[in-house]
Amino acid sequence: MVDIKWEAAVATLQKASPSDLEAACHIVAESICQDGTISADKFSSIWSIEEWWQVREVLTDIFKTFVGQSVSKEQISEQLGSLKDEYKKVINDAVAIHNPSLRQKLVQNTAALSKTILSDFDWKLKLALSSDKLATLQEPLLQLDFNMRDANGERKEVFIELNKTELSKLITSLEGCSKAVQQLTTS
Amino acid sequence: MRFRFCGDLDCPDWVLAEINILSKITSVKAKLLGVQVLKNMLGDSMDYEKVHKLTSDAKFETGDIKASIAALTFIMSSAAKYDVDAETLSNELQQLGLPKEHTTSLCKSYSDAQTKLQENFRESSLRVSMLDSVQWRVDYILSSSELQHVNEPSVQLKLNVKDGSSQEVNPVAVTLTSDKFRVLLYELKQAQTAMENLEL
Repeated sequence: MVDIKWEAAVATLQKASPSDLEAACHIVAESICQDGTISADKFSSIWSIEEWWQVREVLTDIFKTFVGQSVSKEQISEQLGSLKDEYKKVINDAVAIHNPSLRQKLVQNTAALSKTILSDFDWKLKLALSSDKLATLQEPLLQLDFNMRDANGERKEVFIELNKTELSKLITSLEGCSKAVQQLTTS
Repeated sequence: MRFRFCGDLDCPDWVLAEINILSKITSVKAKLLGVQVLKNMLGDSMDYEKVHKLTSDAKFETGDIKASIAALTFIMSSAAKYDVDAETLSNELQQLGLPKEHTTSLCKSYSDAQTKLQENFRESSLRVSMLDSVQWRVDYILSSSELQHVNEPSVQLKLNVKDGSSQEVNPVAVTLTSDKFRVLLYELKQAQTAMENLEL
């Protein structure tokens, strides 16, 4: 990991005080977990905009690699090369604090390495009162809205309507699936 | 005049005209014609030979045959649609001029078939889409380029959705993490409870 890109960043990173670097680490880690964007305003006094991008890129890289490969504390210190000790400690602590959520995010990214993933879903229960064939229909219907994202990042929405029988068929089938998942998580 | 079997509206003129013509054949023939019409509405095909034999005595032309079948179909399906019982239907048809013997026999066949007709109509009512079948697969992810030690299950779900109008089945395939799958199953069960609690 100690490559040229990293070495160049060391000087930039050490421009800030350790506590500022700590703040930056937390912000970058949270933005990875929440897929959010960060504004450079907070650190405009310490780093220029290009320097901030560099810092952000390097920190993101660090977090993803260290969590992704389960690097231990000692190895982290070693891989951070020529960075001063108090800065190494800051980064080490940040990795430890954000490890669970970062790991979860990487698991989600792994699952997303697929043709289509379910990003979100909604449901609503409707009552069909009447139709042209039957005046008092009174049929409860569940509408399921699936928001899917495919490999290109394009969003697709699918609406499915289910009546009582279809819903219980679906739930029975999914319960079988759930059993299989539980067996894998406990074993 | 408002009739229950017409949904509390007036009876259409063409039905009135046909009732007139139906009165002219014998009640037995009317009943047999009614039976054929009901058979057709419930999905079996009509026996056109029989119908022709029934109407040939009364010198019905093809146009008349079609009209009578149409009138009987309207009367029975409309009555089923508005959930009219056989007695009310009988009274209303008599008010419109159909002789008593005709209405009694027709309404007897109607009441026998009423529940089935309504079930049939319920199933054929408009649906935007329906779930045809569902297939799933559980994978266990060992490792990935993002994370070296993953060891998490992941679910592949394929829902075969039938389109309401075209009746063609389109598969919808998605991948879910085990967390999201758990949430999906939980929410579906909540929805099912809500559906069952609807006191209808």
